[in-house]
Amino acid sequence: MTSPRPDPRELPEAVRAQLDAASRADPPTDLLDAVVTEVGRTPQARTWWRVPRVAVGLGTAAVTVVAVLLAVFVAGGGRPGAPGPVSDTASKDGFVLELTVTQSSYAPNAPIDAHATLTYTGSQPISRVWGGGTLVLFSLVDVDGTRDVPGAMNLPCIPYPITPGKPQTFPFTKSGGYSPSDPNAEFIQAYLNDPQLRLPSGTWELEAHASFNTGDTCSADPISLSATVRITVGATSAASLQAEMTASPAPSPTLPPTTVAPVPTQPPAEATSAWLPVTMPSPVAHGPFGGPQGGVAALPGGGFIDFVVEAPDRVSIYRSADGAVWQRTGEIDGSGADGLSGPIAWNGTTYVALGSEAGGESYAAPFNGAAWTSPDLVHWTKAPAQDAFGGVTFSGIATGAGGFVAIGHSQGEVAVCWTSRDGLHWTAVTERAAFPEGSLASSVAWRSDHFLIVGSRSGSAAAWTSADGTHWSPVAGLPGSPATFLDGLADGPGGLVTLATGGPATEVAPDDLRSPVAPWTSRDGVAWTSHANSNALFGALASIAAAPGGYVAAGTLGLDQAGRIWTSTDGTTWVPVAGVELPAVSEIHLVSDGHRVLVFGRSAASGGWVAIVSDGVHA
Amino acid sequence: MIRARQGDITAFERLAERHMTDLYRLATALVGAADARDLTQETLLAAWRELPRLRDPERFLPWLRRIAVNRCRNHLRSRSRHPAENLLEAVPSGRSGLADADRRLDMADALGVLPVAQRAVVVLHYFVGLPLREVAETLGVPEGTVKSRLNAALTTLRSELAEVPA
Repeated sequence: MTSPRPDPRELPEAVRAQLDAASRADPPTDLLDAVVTEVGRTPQARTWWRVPRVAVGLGTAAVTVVAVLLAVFVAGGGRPGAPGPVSDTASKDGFVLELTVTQSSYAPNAPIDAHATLTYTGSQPISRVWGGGTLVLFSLVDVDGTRDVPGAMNLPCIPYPITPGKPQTFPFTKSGGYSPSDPNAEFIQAYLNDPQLRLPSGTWELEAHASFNTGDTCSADPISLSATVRITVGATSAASLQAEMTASPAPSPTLPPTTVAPVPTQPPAEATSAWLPVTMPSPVAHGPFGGPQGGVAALPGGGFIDFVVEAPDRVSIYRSADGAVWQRTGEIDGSGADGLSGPIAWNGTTYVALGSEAGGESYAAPFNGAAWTSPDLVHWTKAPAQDAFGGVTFSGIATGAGGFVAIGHSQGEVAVCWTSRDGLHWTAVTERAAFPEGSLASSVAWRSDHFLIVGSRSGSAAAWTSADGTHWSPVAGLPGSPATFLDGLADGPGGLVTLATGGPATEVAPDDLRSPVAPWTSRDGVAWTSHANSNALFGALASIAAAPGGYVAAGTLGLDQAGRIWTSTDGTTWVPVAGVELPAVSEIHLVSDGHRVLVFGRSAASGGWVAIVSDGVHA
Repeated sequence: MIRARQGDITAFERLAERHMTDLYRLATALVGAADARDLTQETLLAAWRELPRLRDPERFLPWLRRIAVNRCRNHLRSRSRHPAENLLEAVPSGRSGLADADRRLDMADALGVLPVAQRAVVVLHYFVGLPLREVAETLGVPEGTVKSRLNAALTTLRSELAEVPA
């Protein structure tokens, strides 16, 4: 939930040495003098909105004079330089990337036509390449200023068909983002919101980047190509000058201010639940419970399980009926045992626990999925390494008709859900129609005759259903909402509840961006009702779970690391819980077996874990 | 700061002096020592020109770093055909037992093979020491994009390093 602290040990030694050398580099002694000398010759920019009214008047007069001169120039048969197409080409290993802009100069805010082509001209029998969320990414750089919109795409890697000798055309598409505190936020927002490519005056570089692999993976050395075209926008040619001066007020290059949601008043905390501090099992040798190794999961049917790492190949199993009293019930031995973390599902004969496995031995990716099965929670069998696990991080599991369905994310966003009949052999669901690039899954559940996943699809809140776990359909007719993500699922007395998050954010303090959170409820997972934004949950990053008498959420608010708990009896009205104080936490988790709710968090100060348990919500 | 925004060169000189070493080292990490001087100078001149447009003086340092990164990005892209050559000069010979020229080439390549955007993320996070949120602010991209780039960069670096003979 928080940004990790930079740890240079994560870098290869050679890179550390290189950066270490740079950290001791001192600027030449004459550099400051050189800068000051140049500064003395360089006028500062002035923002147009600060120009005094009288100056605007003078400026208008000056423009009029130039316009007259220009009219004379044009009427006299003079022809402004006709800027033709400009292009740049980059090539490597038989691939040619060409960026073309139809003119080298434009009037301010005039539509700009740019596109790139990617062609394979080599002799290898290449039929596809693997790349990120888009094969060609476009960026924009203000050559003389600070406005810069680097393109952004999702993580690699998906396949793209390639026909040797046949160019593929990519129209200039915008991507990227900004922080509201960015001095150029308004410009970037306007740029991204405008479906046309239009720019204010200045010298701009349009860039096309292609990065892909020819092997069946994105982890190998990619082929990277970049092409750059510089264009001038503004009064640099007679044509553009005329257009700039005679055009009706153009779409503003600096554009409307960002709309922000008001910061709601937090409701008072209420004593809606009783919480008992508990001591979780401690690792015997090394490795914390929770986090990247080991983990706590609620058990289907009741109770909790804690996988405590004692060594990379040995994990102790602890069980608890109530989350408070724990007993060691066995251990799991074998390579990669420390990746066993849960969550866990049960299909009546087999428990399936998900987990992770480091790369290197069986996988190229640094983080990969893993799974174990057990008939009794004592004896566990690790699923074999398989293609479906490569680059996968699992986050949820459910069981129903068709077997088990796991959700998570994968390097390259190959899939967001996976299916298995036996828990040992898994298949990624790669239906792009249902799960286009960028889809995210937050929770999965089985609902009497169908699986349900909630999350995000094409940047909007989304839900999917499937009768068999393999064929999925997006749920149609979801409530209109600015939310971009449905976070979590809890099935309690008020039916299904999820939290719609990710709408327009408010910067309540420097860098502290908070978005409204609106509860959505449903009886069947298909017909959803959105409710008013929750004042209590405004800005929350929280997990939710059902509990006797209602629902519980645990998480943090914005940049505030204090662990918080909220409850609701109906899933729509939420209140913070009084009388429970959690420390600042670097991570906080919530698991519920339907009878009790266990909240555990890692103290940001000490790194140790704190845990509390509750028997439910009391009206 | 306010005086510098109003055109006071002496005030700007003090600002430049305060941040010059950090900027120079950032440029060295991004483009190599041979070009760090020019890019530091370009950065400070651009900052001087654009200072009146800086709406929030409290954000001066992230803004300054962003100018530096943009300048370095432009520079790297303009010489993208041979990114490793100048980077070599950022690595003093004989350090860390890596005196051998081939070994130094590999070491420079470890950063040089990264796309420019990923290199910026690695340098700002690990070299400047910025949390990912501040890296995102400096680059003007969402934090998720920074995480994606960092993940991809680390994967590439580890992959590249695995090919270096021990």
